[in-house]
Amino acid sequence: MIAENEAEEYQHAEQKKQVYLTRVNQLFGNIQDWLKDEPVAVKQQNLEIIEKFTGPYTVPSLSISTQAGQELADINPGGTYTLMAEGLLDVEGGFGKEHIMYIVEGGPYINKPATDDKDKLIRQPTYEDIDDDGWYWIEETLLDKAHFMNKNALLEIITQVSDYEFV
Amino acid sequence: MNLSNPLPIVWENHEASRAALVIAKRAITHNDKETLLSHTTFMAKNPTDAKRTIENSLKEVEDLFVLSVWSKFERFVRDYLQQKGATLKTTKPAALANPLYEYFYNEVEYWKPNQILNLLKISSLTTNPHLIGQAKQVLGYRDWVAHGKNPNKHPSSSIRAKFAYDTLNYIVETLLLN
Repeated sequence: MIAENEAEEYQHAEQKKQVYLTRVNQLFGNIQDWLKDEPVAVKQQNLEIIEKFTGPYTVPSLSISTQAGQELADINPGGTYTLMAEGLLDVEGGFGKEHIMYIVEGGPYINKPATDDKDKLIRQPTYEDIDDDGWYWIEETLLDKAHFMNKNALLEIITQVSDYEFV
Repeated sequence: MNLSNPLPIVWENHEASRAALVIAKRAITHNDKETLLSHTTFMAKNPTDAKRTIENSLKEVEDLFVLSVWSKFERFVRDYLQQKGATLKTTKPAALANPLYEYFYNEVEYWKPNQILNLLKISSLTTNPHLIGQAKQVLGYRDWVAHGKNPNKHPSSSIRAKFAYDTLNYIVETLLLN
């Protein structure tokens, strides 16, 4: 959530950026671990991104390829500031792009009137199955499915963006 | 005029565009590529250039979607406000009614998008004011894309197609309930 007063947001930006980088590094550590027994190579690099409130900063990114050198997917940080979440990662391959978001407190929601009492509001989550804070793959469909990031979700995303099937 | 949600068809078109590009990319290495790529721009390109063109298009299509979905959203909200303002036609004295409504109707076309969002925040969206904050972020990103992605002036947030759609779609659905 961005503060309505922009001057206030600039004051929080450095702290938010550090939290984001810590979370990205934790996930990238997990990804390296999940892929260590798979027939792929993972290379970590640094790149620079620029955001309005933080200015430029260096972030890690991952390139995943087959052992024969065929590029499968790049996982690039999309930034600290994103809609409906506390951080974004883009997974890009030759066949498309998917998104991983850091979601807290059940994630985005809307308040809707209860069916039995129009004066009562109920909080309806936008995406299903968000139980804990963490990184989630939000499918690029209208099914509103969120997958907590684990090895299975990662392999599925890589297949989705690269057409590469893990055996 | 009965208002309906114009956004799902925009998403459907976006999904179709992405799927078509994926199919085109597969066709480049297909055994029957001569037939599949016949009379398309890809026939004249070597496979490496054709693949690069498609990959660049896949990236571009997401930003174009944000432009497209915002324009449909903005048109819907202006239509919605003009329709709700029709009660001005019952204003007394009667001589004022139609000119007043006509003036309002025409003025709505010139309201700035941020003004419209602020109006919704204090009226139809009081139970979900956070959606207006999110819509303003989509608008900021839309403006950034529409003005050539100025590298010296960044939008407040990174916006991706799916999340822009979800935000604006919720606002439209809420308005249609009222």
